[in-house]
Amino acid sequence: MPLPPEPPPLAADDDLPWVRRAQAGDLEAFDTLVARHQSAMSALLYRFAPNRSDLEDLVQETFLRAWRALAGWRAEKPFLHWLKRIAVRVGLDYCRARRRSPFSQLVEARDGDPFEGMAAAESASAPCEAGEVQAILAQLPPDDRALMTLLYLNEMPLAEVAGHFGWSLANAKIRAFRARHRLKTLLKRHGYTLE
Amino acid sequence: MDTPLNNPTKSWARLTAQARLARPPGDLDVRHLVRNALEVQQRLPRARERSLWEELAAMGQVRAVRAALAFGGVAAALALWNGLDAVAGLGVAMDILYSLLP
Repeated sequence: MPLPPEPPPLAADDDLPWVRRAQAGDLEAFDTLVARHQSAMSALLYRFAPNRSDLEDLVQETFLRAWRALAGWRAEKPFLHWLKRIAVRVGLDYCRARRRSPFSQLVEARDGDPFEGMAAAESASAPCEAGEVQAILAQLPPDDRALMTLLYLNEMPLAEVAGHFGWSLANAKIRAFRARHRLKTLLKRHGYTLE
Repeated sequence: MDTPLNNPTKSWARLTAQARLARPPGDLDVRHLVRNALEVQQRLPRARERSLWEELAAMGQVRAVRAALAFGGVAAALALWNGLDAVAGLGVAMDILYSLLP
């Protein structure tokens, strides 16, 4: 059965009736939420996984986790904020899984260009630059990689990152400081300066 | 080893700024994937949690468990039988001791 056309994006508060229906088990309502927010989730998770198939998996996993946890959602914060928190954790799990498997890193290196199938970028060199950033960040420990991805590529404020990961701001600052220190050492080896 | 591999003047800030220009595929649509996964999940019969008694009853159906229980019963009966002999022996010994007392 073909799904209905993608509705135009609406303000976060407009999610509420659809979320309520989805909480009652309405899959059609959840489809609408997926259609509304999949672009935002793709944009966020693309910084973790530029490879199209991985990106699809991560976005799908985000919505599946959201469905499973939907009963626990409270309207204190916008639905999109809650969804972003899930996506960030999916991204972190992705970094951890990639780190656990040295074989996957070899496959990634062998497969070459991870940006196959990406949309036309505003800058022709953007995929190359993004690939280089990914290659450098991949050498960090997984938690550092996730943190640096959110800070440098998603440009997410540290306070928001801390909120998504459930850290205190002080803890997040310490983690960011340590991760930056490790990144700095790494960048030096690659001939970059961390400004 | 901190040996620079490339031009040491390259800027990380400039590199990440360029990287941010890359955009995700615009045609990515996971609605069908999500919908299919959710429908499959809903079709799967949910495993009901069994109570302790149901677990024990189910264990009783296993031949190995039955054999073990039977063996345990025989062993317990033998132990009890020997135990009674020992108690009886103790009683006789106590009688002898009492008889030796002045």
